[in-house]
Amino acid sequence: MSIRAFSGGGLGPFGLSLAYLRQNRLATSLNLLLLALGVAAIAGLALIDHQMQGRLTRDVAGIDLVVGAKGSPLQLILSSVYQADVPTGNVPLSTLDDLRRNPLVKQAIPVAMGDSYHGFRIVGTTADYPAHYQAALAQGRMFATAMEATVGASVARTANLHVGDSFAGSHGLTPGGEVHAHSPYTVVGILAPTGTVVDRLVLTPVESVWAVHDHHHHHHDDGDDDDHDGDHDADHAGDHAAEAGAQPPREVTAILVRYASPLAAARLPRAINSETGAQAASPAVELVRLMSLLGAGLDAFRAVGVLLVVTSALGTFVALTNALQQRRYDLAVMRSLGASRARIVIQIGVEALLVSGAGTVAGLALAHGGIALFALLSPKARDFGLSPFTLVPADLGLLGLGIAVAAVAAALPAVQAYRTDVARTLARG
Amino acid sequence: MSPPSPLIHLRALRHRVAGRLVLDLPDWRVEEGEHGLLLGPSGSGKTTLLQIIAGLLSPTTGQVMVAGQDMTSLSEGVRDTVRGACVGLVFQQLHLVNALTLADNLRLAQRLAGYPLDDDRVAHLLARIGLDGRAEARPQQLSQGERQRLAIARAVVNRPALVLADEPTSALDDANCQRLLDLMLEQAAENGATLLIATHDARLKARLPARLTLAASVLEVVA
Repeated sequence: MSIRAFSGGGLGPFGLSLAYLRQNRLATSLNLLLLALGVAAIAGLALIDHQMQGRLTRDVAGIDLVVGAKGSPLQLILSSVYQADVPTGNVPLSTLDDLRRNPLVKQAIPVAMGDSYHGFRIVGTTADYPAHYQAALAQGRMFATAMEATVGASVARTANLHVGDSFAGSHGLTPGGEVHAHSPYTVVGILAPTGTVVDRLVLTPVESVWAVHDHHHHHHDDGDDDDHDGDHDADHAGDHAAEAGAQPPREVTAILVRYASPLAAARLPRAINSETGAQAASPAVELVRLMSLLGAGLDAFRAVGVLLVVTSALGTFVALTNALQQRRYDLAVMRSLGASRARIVIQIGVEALLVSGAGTVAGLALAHGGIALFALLSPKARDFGLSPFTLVPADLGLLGLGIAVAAVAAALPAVQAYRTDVARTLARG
Repeated sequence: MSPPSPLIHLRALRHRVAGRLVLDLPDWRVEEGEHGLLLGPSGSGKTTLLQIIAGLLSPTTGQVMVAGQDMTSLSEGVRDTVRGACVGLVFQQLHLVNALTLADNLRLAQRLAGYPLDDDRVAHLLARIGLDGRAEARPQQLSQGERQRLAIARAVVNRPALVLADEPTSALDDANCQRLLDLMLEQAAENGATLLIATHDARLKARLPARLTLAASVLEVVA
C-alpha cells in the first residue's frame, strides 16, 4: 500500500493521524463537511464574482461612451451594452452622423433594438459591432443587406438555426410578442462563441429593423413614434430630404462610441448632454455603480462563507482537544516508547493539517464541481461564460486559510500535549 | 580490569514530592540477568522508582545509571532515545493503542525507538503470545489476559536490556498470574533482558527474589 510506504509503515505522523482520524470517523467527517462547505461557499462566490466581473468587463471593453435617449444612464448601459434592460428610447439617426463627423470620435457603432427571436434580441447594427467583440464566423458570412441575419453561437444552438434558415422576429424584447410574419429574416452566418454578449444576439443591418417597423407602421399607428417624428423632421430635415415625406423617422436605440483621443472624455459627454436631446453615459462609471450595487449582496454571501469556515475551525479545535483528552495516555505511551516531545507536537500538527487540508481541497473541488454541474445543467450559466476550470487567486488564498485554520485549531492542544507530565499521566492510568 | 558495570546503579537517590521525601536510596544496584521484585505496600513509591529508572522522571537529587548511561545528566531528548532503546515498560493499566492493530502496536514501539520495522519479529512475538492470526485485530477486541500478553510483547519487541513491569499481575487469578510470570521470564530469557517487577503481590515472591523492599515508613519521613 503506497500510503504505508510513504509514512514509515503507516506509523509515521501521517499514518498514525490517519489511524486516529479513522477511529473518530463521525467527528472527522462532520468537521470535514463543515470546512468543505465553508470553503466551497467562499470559493464558489469568488469564482462567480471573478467570472462575472470578467464578463461584465469584456462586454464593455473598448466602449468609451454610450449615447442614447435621455433616462437612467445605468439603464442605457444595461440595455445597449449588456442587452439586459429595456432601452431608454431612441435617438435620431442624425446623432450617429454627427458623432461620425466629430474628430474626437474614432468609431461610432449604432445599435437598434425592438424585436426578439426565442427571447434573443435582434440587434440592428453594422459589421463594426461583431468586429468590436472580435466575433469570428463559424459558418457562412456576415450580414450585408436588409433581412439578412448573422446569429450568435448560443442563439444558433438554442433556437437550432442553420445557415439558410429563415425566421420571423417577434415584437418586443421578451418572447410572446406579435410575430412579424410578413418580414422574415434569413440566416446567412453563425458566429463562433466569444464569451461576450454577442453570443446571445441576432445581428442584422439597421435597415432590417427599420424595414420591419415600416411595415409595422402601416398597420399600427403609434402615437409615441409621432412625437419623435416632429423633433426629428424639424432638426434634421435637410439631412434626409430625399427620404422625407411618407417615410417614418430613421432612428437608432443607442450608439457605442470609441474616442479618438483622451481629450474626448473631457468634452464629448458634456457637449452631448447639454447641447443635444440625447444623453451620454460612461460604461466605466456605470459598471462601478453596478458592481457596488451587486457587491453588497455578494458581501453578505461571503460573510456566510466566512462564518462557516470559522465554525469549522472551532469544530476542528474542539475535536482535536477532545481527541487529545482521550488520547493523553496514548501520547504519554508514545513518549515512554521513545518519542520526543517534538514528535508528539508534530503528530498533532499533522493531524490538524490533514483535516483542514482535506476539508479545503474538498471545498474547492465542491465549488468548481458545483459550478461545472451548474454550467452543464443551465444553458444560461453556459451563455454567461461560466467556466469551472478557471483557478482564481482566491483559491490560493483559501488554501492558506485552511492551513491557518489548522494552525489555530492545533496550537492549544499541541501546547497541552507538549506540557503533559508523562510520568504522572502514566501512573494515574 | 574492573568488573562490568551493573545494569542499574542508583547513588544517593532522594526524591521528594511536594517537599515530602518519598524515596531515599543511598546505594542500590541490579546486575545484568538478576531478575527480581521491587516490593512494598501501595504508596511506598514503587511506581515512582520505576519511572525514575526509566528516565520518565528526574529524581530530586542523586545519580541514576542505566546500562552504563547516566540518566540524570542526559537531556530529556537523549533520555527518550535511551529509554526507547534500552528499557521495555509494562504499565499497570497497559496503555495499549486502541486506534492501531495488534501488529501495529508492536511496530509502533519499533518505530518510536528508531528501529527499522521488522515484520518477522512482530509475527514471531504474536505467535509466542498465542495471538498469531489476529495481527489485524484491535486491542479492545482482546480479553484482559490477551491484552496483558500483548503489553509484554510490546515491552520486549526491541530486545531491551531491562524490562520494568508495574503490578502486572494484580488483576489476574492464580492460574493466569503464574502463566503471565512464565511468559515474562521466558521472554526475558529469550531476549536477554533483565526483569524487574514492582509488586505487592505475594504470589510472585515464591518465584522471584526481592531486590528491594520499600517501607511504607519512608513516607512518614518528613524532610
